[in-house]
Amino acid sequence: MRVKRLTGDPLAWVTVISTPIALVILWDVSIEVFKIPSFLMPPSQEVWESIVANRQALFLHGQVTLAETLIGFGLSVAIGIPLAMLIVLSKLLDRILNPILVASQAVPKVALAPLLLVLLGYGAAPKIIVALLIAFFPVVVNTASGLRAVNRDTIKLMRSMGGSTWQIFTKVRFPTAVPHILAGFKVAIAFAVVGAVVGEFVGSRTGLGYLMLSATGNFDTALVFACVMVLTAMGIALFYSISLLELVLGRFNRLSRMQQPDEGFGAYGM
Amino acid sequence: MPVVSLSKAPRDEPLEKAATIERVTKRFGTRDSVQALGEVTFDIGLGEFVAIVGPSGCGKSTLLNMVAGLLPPTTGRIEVLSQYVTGPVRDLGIVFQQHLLLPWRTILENVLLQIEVRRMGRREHKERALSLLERVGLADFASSYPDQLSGGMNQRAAICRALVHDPELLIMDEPFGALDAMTRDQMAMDFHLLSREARKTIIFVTHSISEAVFLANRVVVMTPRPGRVQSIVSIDLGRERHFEMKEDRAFAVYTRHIREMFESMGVLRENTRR
Repeated sequence: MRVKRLTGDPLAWVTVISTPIALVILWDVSIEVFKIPSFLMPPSQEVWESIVANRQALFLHGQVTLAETLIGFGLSVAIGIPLAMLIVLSKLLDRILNPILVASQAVPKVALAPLLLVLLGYGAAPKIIVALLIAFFPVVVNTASGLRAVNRDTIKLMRSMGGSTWQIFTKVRFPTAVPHILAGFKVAIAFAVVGAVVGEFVGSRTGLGYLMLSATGNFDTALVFACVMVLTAMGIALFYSISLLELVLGRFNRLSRMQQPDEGFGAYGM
Repeated sequence: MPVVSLSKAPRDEPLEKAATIERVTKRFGTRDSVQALGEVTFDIGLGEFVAIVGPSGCGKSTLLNMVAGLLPPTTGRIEVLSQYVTGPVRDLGIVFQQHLLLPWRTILENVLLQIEVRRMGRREHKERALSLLERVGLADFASSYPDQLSGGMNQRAAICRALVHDPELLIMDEPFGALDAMTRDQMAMDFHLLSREARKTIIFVTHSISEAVFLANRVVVMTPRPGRVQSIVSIDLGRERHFEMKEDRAFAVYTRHIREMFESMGVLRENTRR
């Protein structure tokens, strides 16, 4: 459990905090050294000032993007998990759905965004759909592989107890799949942010994607980077809220904890 | 079918049959290309402890699965407790080589899984589960998780799970096969005592000749794939078994007899350099 390890070791916190600080210093130094003009790449000071100056706009547009991301992600979970169940339940459905799934992954969904705009207009709908389309593949694939990661003898054991397919799902398959599902969520939620922003790029009057596009038009590079920062912070926050969910569902992670390498070597400074 | 009895004392025939296996075969693969089990016929008496020994791949596990109703035979028929097996046999508990405890459940919750899935009363059976755990020496570990216990302890819990609903038949597929040699001997001894108390009909698959002789009333010796019954050996070592018995002549006669059968089948080969 990462969080436990962090709280227990002050040195770990130092590493976690010093890495971004080092990156910011590297940024400013390279601007200084390579004489990069500020309209191409503003120093961190300017980005920070832009964040403060535009905090209201960033907050409002950020809210829109966050809402689109969460709805898109939520829909990908609502569709992805039942779909994964069907794939695991039936060989026939697996054969029918698998090529469609792979094809859906191969289609450049970003390229579909203009088409969705035409179909669904300027509202939130096309952004949500793009976020959903990008996010749902990792959800389905991870859930399906998690539901399958069950020992065959455990299934036999459940059958000998008179267990139904549904009981096998609820008592064995789902708990086994929890770590896999959450791993899929982590990828999916980061993808959903990308999907929402891309949807906004194509046509929108709100959202951080729109704000970035209009700032680029005005050569306000500092604001563009401010938007990137807010999006990054949003992505990180969403990622760690899934990690938090992992902690809450910790007892289903017993298996993955058992499989973690032990840290005995640490004691010898290795 | 040659029924070999090494001593002259007649085996006391059980009055009732727990299971009848009649001309059962099993084929796997596309168009049943692989024969896993040759024709097998034998009976198991009520309350009997039958061990099945045979080389790897001879179909002993397949046979167990068919008796449990988890796998249909290709031909032949199986009767368990006077009923033809057409699906999972209800009045039965299974122990596999792996303990298969669910890692997110405590030991007690794992034992009670049997009760939950069968939709029997959880509250009434909790006491029985706890007393079974106490019986196998796990009283203090009821609320521990499987990853906190050793392999042997987990396997004891798995045996409790197979017994908690008080089935007539207990089926065990190399239950001590994943344990180290010393734990294995102790488990065999403890299980011998438990099985005598529990009065179950037990079908026990193993690779170990001495384990089979030590535990069973009868040992079914199987040929290599496709497995058939080579011989059935009645073990007349009395109801009570002790570790010292393993050094006794009578015990050695049985193990030697079975080993020689495997040698004659080419499963085991003697050291010919003298």
